[in-house]
Amino acid sequence: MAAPVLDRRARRPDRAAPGSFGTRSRTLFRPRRVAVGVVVLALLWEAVSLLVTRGVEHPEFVMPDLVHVARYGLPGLADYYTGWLGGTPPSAGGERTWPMGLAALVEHGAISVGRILVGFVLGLAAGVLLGLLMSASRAVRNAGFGIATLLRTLPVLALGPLFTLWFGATSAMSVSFVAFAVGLVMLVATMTAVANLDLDVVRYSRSLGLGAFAVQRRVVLPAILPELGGAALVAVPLAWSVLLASEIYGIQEGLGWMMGKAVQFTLVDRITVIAVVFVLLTFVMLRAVQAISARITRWAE
Amino acid sequence: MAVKSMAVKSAGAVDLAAAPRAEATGHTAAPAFRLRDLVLEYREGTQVVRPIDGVDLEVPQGEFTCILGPSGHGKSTLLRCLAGLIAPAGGTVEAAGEQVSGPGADRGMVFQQDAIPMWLRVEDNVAFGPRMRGVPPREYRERVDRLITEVGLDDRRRAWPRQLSGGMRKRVAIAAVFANDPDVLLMDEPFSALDFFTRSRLQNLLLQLWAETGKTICFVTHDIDEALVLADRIVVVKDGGIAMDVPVAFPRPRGEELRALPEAQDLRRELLDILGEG
Repeated sequence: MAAPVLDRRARRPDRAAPGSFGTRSRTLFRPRRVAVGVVVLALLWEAVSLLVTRGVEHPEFVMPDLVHVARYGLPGLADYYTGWLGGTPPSAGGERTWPMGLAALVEHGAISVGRILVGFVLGLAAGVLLGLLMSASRAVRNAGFGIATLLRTLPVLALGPLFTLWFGATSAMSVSFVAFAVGLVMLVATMTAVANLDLDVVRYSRSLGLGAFAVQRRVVLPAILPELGGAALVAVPLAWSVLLASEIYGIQEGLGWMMGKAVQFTLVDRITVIAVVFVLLTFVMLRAVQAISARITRWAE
Repeated sequence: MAVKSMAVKSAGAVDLAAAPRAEATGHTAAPAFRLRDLVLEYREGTQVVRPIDGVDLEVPQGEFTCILGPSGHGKSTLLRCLAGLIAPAGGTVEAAGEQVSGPGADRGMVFQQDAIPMWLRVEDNVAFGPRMRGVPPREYRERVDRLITEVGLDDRRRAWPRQLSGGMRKRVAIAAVFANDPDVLLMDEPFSALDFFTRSRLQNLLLQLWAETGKTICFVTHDIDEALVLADRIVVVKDGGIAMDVPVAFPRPRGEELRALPEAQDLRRELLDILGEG
């Protein structure tokens, strides 16, 4: 009779046992669990909606049920559509329909996605580059680490008005604010990862004849990539929060702007639809960053 | 502290006067290393610690020198100074007649822990040094291929280091250092974390590569038996100085029969006495 398998993971030779060499923690993604989570959340929403709106005259302004959200929230977004993808928006005499609402989401979603991608990439590159530069010298590292850690503890969203004042209500403001937030996370992560790097790896490379620049580029950077991948995953939700905040501060387009307009008139159904879109986009970006990170650091899995 | 070179008598029946390998191979150039009144120190809080204090030493080219000593007595620090990773607080270090001012490709190093780039496949790891130094591939490709074969990793060329055992990763490190074609190999207890059989295999592999290339090797270990198997010469570093410096002229290859040699037993006992003193 076969011996009982105590650790289920031991059945899978391709899956390392917990704590074994070369493993690293990964954000688990199980489609079935996500689907269950969505259903549970929807049920919870319905239950809470029923509870808190009992006896309320206009429940749609407090917490509308999901049927109301689907019926009025999505078509209502058509009010923010400019006709960019064709069709007649309500502002030009058209009707509030699902397709028009979807068109508004695509139009403003594309603008927001564009801003966040540019800001994210800029922030990531700047944070890592600055982190490597600051780590190259002990004096700069000690000074910079204190500043970066202090800035990291600040509520980044509170700096939004400053960016609006500096850049105006423009895409540049939104992009730079996202880049700042992401850059700060990546800067601290880079400096921490370099500080934790096994010095023998650097010494080994230097004994092979690599110069200081080659060591930074060919050894330090690849060696800290797994840690940077983890930091990038932390930066994604932060970037979306910052984007939302930046767009609410007066920019005339983007998902955050739509959200701001809906908040002005307490249109909870529309707010709910936009919030769901934000969650979906954040989730998709998280998966994309995770996939890219896993690909780049496949040697470390 | 002056070198006690030859001052400590070793096993009587062993031919300690036998010519060292460097002379046997006809090397007449400047020594691989020449240390003069070397002092190494570092700060520990407000205290200044001197792990090496006033050492004189010459290592001829082509010699296999084992630096033996108890843990914490400065042998790894000394090796790192030879690599140029630590600057002397006093005295001088010359490599092949040139003042050592930093690490260089002429002095390759193998560490106790895994230090090879984990993000490079085996063949890229072995070719890492020459490739990074801008050596044209035609000048190192054949050497890299030969070394991968010699260390027995032909079928693991495309493997990531994490997919290899500890012994295999050590073979990658050895091949990588030899592929970079340094004048000197500095090895800091490279086999100490390995099991007995793996260690024996790697010792034989190292000796084979050494015999083929005639490189100078400085090998730090705290294992007397390992030093007896490998070395042309054993330098005992203790309390910041050289407590013993003795040539080892047992015939090679040195297998299990070495343990039975009365001369080896005498030298082993003597080394044990020195290491155990104080």
